[in-house]
Amino acid sequence: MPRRQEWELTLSISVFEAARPVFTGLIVAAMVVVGAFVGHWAHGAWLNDHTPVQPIEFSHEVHAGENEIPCQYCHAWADRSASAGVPSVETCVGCHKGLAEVRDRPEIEKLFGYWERGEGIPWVKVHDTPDFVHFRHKPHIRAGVECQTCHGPVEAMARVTRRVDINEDLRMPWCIDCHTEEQVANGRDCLTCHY
Amino acid sequence: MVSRRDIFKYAAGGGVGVGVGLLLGEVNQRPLETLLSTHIPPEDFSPGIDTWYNTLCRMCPAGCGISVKVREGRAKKIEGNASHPVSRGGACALGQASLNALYNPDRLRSPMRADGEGGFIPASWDEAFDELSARLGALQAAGMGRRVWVLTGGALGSGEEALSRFSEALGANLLRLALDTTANEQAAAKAIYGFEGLPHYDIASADLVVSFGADFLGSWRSPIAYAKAYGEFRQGANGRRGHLAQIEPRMSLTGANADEWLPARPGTEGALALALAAEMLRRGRGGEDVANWGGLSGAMSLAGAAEQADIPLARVEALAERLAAAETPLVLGGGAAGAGTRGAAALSAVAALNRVLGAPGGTVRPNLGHAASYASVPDIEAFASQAASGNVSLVLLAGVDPAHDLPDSLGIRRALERAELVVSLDSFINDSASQADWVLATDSFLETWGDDISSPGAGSLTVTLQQPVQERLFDTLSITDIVLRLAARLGGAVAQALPHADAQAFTRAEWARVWQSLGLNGDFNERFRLAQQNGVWDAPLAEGMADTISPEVPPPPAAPGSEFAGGESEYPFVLHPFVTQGFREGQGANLPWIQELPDPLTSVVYGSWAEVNPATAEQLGLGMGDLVEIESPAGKLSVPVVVHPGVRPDVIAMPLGHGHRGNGRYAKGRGANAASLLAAQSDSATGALAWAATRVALKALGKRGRLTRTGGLSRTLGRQILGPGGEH
Repeated sequence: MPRRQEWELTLSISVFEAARPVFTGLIVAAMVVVGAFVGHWAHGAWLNDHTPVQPIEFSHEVHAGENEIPCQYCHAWADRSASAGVPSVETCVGCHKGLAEVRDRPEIEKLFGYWERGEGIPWVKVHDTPDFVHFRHKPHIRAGVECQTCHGPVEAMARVTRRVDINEDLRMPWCIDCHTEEQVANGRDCLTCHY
Repeated sequence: MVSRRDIFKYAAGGGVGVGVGLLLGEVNQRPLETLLSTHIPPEDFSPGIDTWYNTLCRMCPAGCGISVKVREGRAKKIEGNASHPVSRGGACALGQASLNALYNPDRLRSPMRADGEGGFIPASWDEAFDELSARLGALQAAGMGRRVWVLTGGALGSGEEALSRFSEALGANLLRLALDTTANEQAAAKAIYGFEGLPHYDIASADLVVSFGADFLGSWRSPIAYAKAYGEFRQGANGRRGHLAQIEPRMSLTGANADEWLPARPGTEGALALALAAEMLRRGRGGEDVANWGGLSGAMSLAGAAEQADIPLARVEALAERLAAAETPLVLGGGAAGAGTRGAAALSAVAALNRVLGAPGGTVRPNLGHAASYASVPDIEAFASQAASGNVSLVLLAGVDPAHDLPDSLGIRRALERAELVVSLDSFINDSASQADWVLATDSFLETWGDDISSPGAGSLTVTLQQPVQERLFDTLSITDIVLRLAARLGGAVAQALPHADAQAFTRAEWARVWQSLGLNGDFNERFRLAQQNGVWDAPLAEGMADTISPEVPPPPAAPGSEFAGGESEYPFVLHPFVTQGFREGQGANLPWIQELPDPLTSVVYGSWAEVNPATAEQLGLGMGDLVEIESPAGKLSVPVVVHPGVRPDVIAMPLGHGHRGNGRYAKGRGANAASLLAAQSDSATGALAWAATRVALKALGKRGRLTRTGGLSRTLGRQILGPGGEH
């Protein structure tokens, strides 16, 4: 027994104490790495612009929610094309020129500004897939997938956000899970989306 | 034992880490993209869905029908129009790259006026029309319309008609400029076949094609149509594989595809063709129609012609054997073979060989289009001398760049300097436009109306409609629009000749006029709508409309050798300028896709070069990429060398279309302009520009040039791709 104690004592004095600055350095380095992960996660969770500010503070809550305008009234190509499309300024003005009660609101003034200058509105993209993914709206809409499945409850959003917990930011496993569950033809084939 | 101090250190490390993480997150964040909505969408606008429009390609005079893929109101891709009888679904590199002209960063976005210091400043159309119509009006009122010169290119159809009417009503001169020998081909067809215009060659039904200098697969006349026909000729549409012999001093794309390549000495092609014709007559191939030719006693013997052309007699005899045995032979003549000082005579000799072989009416047929008649060298010199004596008040450059495309020796660049006012109608500040006082920004052909009659066509009357496939990107007008607006401002006889509002109205009115002149029945509006849909009007022919082949013509003239500018001792090599499909005479140089497309024979990209035979290179101590100075009696330039076995030892070959002074960032200063070496030689019969009749000297500069090639090995590395015995 005394012998073992002696051994421990020798170790603690000669090895641990000598290596002490190294251990501290390693722990600090590990803290930096852990901190970096935490920081990156925190950025994604709170600081990332999931909810971009648009050139006009257009509210889907008012249009799709309160007034119950169907999605495809404005995003008219969703069942016909790869892209759902954004409405032309003409579409917006088509309704709004008959809505005198909101005509003098600042955001509506902005809309008529674009209309009178003959310009398009540079909306900021909220949902986007990388260039190597070819997402097409048409087959999804025709298969009866609700817009909200991917886009979340847009009708309840004053400003559209892609921070919707269910779709994990439109990542591939989420697509594949749905394709598998619904037994989509060629739904697990790489070339269905990556071509 | 962990001390208090250590805890602080760990915490600091963690803090730094979080900061780094936040920064990384910020840096890696996907950049925000905008989704620009339309203001008022075009009628056919569906985002993500293609709309295809059939229209006409105007990058060269072949008149191919194309289909353009349009998405979100923008042209995206060009393919051949499958229902068009000329292109039959094919589109060449230059046609496909015309999108590069539409979206070119150097394309003019509004009219520009010279600032007097070599630069240009944007101006409005009103300013441009005010000044132009004031000048033209004053000249017209003073009865000095002759002091106005309209220079245009080779395009036909309504646009050309508007320009001719405008010049005529104004009393102005109209010059059609191109590095072209159509006049020689027309003279040969008139003399030997007895019809006007260019012949239609039916390559598909031939069993033997002998081509004297015509690079019909690469650049000659209508390469897309000929390439389609060549496919049928080769793959045995009539149960046999056709045989192709190519006679030219430098191997073209067609020569590379041929079964035999006979590098005849430049300028001797006519004598060789005539000797072969006489040989065929001796072998009894001639019919009744050539009975009055007296056996072509003036022609050389095969042996004499073979010696003059520097081809082994055995090869010429073997070719004669094939010709005599062929059932449906076809002989083509063009390119440099028809561009010597005896070009018309050489092409007449080629036509005579066809006539002896019985090709007219079979593989050679009258064409139903009308070819442009280009200005002869005397015409151009008349313009230059008028300018030199101060008699040219206004030059209107309608989509041509003669300061680059034509030899300096013709004096066009000097004439433009002397003219009082030069107005260029173009999309770029090209070499000629840089000398102009005004450059009026023109549409891309994809943004406006027009039409063309394909010549050579497809054996029927092929009229192709050009229609806009998208809205104008910038504040531009088409040449026809500009002419019509000028006419309206000028009033009087000019306005009477051109009372139409714009290019669309004019094109439609022209179609209606032709419709009536052909005496066609039916609903014109419906026909026009169909043409908009199909892109083409493959017109039915009225009785007696087609030209016919004369039953009997006088024998062809002798075909003496071409004469070259420059003495043989001082200038030991013949310069062989050649046209490539992408660059043509310079039209493709400002298109990056064309610049980066490797030349099919040398694989050179982004630059020009001179092809030198290995024996000549060894003699002069030249290696691949060495810089040489090439000097002719008319000028000199320096260019890197490509040592290439496909060119005769006494010939230096250079591609045309490179070496611009202006014309945008992709063209400017890239390569050297072979046209600047050409002497002002002309054909002795027609006066057409003899662009293949100049000798040059070669001097090594002792340094390397910039030569970029995508390939480089001429060996097969044991892959056995040349078949047995072809390995090296």
